[in-house]
Amino acid sequence: MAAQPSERTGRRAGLRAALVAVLWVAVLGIIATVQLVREVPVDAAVFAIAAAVLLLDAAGLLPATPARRRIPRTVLLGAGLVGAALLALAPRHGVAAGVLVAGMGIAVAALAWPDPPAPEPLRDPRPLRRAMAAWGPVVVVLGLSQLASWLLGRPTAETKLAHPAVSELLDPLLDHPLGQALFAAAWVAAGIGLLTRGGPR
Amino acid sequence: MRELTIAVYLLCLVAALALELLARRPRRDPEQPRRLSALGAMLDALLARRAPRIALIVFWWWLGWHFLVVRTVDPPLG
Repeated sequence: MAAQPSERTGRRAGLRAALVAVLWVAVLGIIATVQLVREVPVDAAVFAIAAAVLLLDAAGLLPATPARRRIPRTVLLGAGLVGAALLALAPRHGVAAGVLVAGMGIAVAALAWPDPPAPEPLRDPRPLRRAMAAWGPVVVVLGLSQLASWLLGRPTAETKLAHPAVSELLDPLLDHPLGQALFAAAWVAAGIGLLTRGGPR
Repeated sequence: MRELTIAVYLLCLVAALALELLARRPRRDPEQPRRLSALGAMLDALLARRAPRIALIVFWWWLGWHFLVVRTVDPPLG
């Protein structure tokens, strides 16, 4: 018997969701490989674990999660302010910074795992498609130029100077307490943004 | 060569700013739909699905880890 239109639409949406998941798993896999080449196994492991978990989820092998609970903005703002202040004061590359960043990462990932309520379908999806098509090359060029700089700059201190990665350019700024405080504030704000966006507005 | 490398990064930054400004520029006719979505709308669409949401969160986490916790600058081989 031929599938009903709603069945077909549902199947198509499921296929699209699986394709999107596989694409993002591939992105995480590529980043994990780059981190492995950089000889930073912890970074590589985090990206690889995330890719594996998303792959299991896309295959339907993980238990269903309850609906996302809304966190009051005042709670998020208060926690964010405390977190940013502690991160700004924690010595860079120290144990306290490590515990704070790891803790905040785990908290944000755990809170963001349940899906938010589905957003309203777009009346016209073309502006969004155009934006994704325009932003995609910018992100790819930035990523590839980072990788090229890292590879070309690797052999000696001279080549490193000639091909700086963004990290090398920003590193001296972050050594200054004000630079560290600004980065901590921006990083925490971005984390809150990732938690609060995505649902209906 | 250093200047060229930095110029590529700046070009990406300028392109990102230009895209956002283009998306947010005032329209002559407010009834007319926008031609390009702003970054916020694009993030909303991406974050509605679990895979891109978790991938972006892991990348966000890594930025904090990379710049504040572990080795930020890799030593040269030679």
